[in-house]
Amino acid sequence: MTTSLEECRKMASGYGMVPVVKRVPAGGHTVEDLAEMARSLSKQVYVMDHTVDTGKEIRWERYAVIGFAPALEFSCTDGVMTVAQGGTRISYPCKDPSRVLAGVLAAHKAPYAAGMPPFTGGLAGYFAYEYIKYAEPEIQWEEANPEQFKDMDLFFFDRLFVLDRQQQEILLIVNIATDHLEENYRKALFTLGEMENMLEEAPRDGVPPFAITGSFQPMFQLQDYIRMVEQARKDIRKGETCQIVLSNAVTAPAQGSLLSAYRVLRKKDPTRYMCYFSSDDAECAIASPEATITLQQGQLYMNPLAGTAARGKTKEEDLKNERELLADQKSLDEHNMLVDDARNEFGAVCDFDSIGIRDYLKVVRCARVMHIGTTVTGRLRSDKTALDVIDMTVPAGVVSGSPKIHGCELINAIEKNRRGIYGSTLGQISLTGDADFCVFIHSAFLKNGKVTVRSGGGIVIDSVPEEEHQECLNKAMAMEGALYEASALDKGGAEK
Amino acid sequence: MIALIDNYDGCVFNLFQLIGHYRRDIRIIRNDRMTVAELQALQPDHIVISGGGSQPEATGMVREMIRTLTGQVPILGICLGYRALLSAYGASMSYLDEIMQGRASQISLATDCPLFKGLPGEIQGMRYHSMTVPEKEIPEGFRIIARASDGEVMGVQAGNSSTFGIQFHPESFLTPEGSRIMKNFLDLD
Repeated sequence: MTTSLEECRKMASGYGMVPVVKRVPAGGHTVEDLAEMARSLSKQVYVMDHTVDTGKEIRWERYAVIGFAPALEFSCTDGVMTVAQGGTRISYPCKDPSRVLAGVLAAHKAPYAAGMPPFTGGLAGYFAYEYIKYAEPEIQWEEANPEQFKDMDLFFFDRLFVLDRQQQEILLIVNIATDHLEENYRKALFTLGEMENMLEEAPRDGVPPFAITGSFQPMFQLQDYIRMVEQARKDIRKGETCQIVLSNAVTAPAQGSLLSAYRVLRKKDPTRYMCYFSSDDAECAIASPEATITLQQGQLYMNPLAGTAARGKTKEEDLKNERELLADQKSLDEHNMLVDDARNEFGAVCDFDSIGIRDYLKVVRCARVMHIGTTVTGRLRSDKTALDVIDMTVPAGVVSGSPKIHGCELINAIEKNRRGIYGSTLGQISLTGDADFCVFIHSAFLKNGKVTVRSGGGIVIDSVPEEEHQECLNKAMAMEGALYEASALDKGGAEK
Repeated sequence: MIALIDNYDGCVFNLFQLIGHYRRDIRIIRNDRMTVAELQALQPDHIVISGGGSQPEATGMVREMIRTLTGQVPILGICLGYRALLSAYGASMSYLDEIMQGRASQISLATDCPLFKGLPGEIQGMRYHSMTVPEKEIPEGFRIIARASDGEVMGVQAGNSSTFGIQFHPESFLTPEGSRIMKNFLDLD
């Protein structure tokens, strides 16, 4: 069942692109299988999947996106934009990468079509923690970048695979330009045929096995971290900031692909955002509980999670931990600040009288920790796009500070290094304008021959340094476990 | 036109939205991007001064603006804006014993004050501050119009003028009566 040329003609008026979709039975194909296929064929891969906690069970949501071998890749580092197309790269100075991306999306705008998944093509990847420096050029922080983190890395997909669990189908999607529609449509049919063949014939064995080849070392030792927390408390006491998020990391030498770690995460304790991203310089396995921006037909959502407690070993203990978390003044203060910050960020890009909150103080659960959450909503102004929202919200308040700009400066003065992928905002902006992004937390990245799990906690005046140090360790535990398991599994596979 | 002075890193867009329920002609002006004379030339009919992450000494043209325009244009300073108002007339700041960051307090109001017209005698108000103006520092001629349950001064009026300052945040989601306060302010001329 494929979109007809007639349907394309009807949709095309006023748009740069339209999606041609072919639906085929899912057969035995799963997200894991499609991801393996993608990674075997290309080093540039994007997988976005979601679960929802219904209260009774964790359920995978209807659609999962798998994209690879993008038509274009946009990356920007320290004011230099690089655009890659196949093997060709051009680089040029760029002060406002968001405007470049907005231009790309505007030129390829596609209509909403009935029965389509939220993402049918568009931009996918991450805006790094340091991306704020383009919106706020006066920010004062260290420029050194020994790990060579990019400030943003986004694929432009004109074709995608989307798994539809409800219909048990795979949607093969090719977006075509609306000029020369008939000719482009015929080419698309051919491409769709190739994509369908890939499902059965493309190899799945091109994924390098993952191996951790040394032990995990912390970025900051306990005594250093205590000093860092004390410095943060001093800054808060002086009124320099209301709160800041400090982080620690564990890093181990590693090789291969993080895809198997992603598969382990999916099996063990899947959380809201289950994503995988692979580019030339880094791979990421994401199990993030936190949406940073969701934009659906002009309606904007954010779900700040701040305030953390450990999961209980029994149901009774779990509920007790939840009650204590919701009664903890420090956690409530931390959380309330971020709700007002989210409202403020929306305030710059939403219509008057459209901003509201719901599910105030609803606890969200992950594998090892639980967080206090609230959902903030608003209607995006008609003259604003997802990129304007990105400019206002990156890095997310839950990994930076309140107030944000000076909070970032204080964090940098204490941590003295770039966070890069940690605390980045990862997700997609569809050609329709819709967007879906999560915060890069509870996640791992593999870069420069090392795998890193970085995690943080909000420091407020009442913070106890040893407890903050432990909170970071707790948050990293689930990911470390998944990485060891993936390493063991791939080793076992290799030895067969 | 409402001039909304942005003191950097405060929740200026929450104020923008709060005002925007009543008036759409709002101009956001960063505190160091315009002189007082340039602002005067724009002829704002109301001025609102946002909170921010710095000290009164570092609020650009704010304090001079307050001294120049008090009596000519209604002015409302919030949090840092409140402290800048008092600082403009000589008050010194000090640190709170217990920092209030993201904490709502019960605040009693002088309901005969035009800023609090129609409000109950006590409301909930959100606080984000480490610094305060101790009561003894409040300059002569200022009337205290609001006080928190911990005793801290939460609001002042400069004499009988339409210049007001409030320490708490009417634009926060935990100040339910905040919109009413802004309406009262915008109704003044």
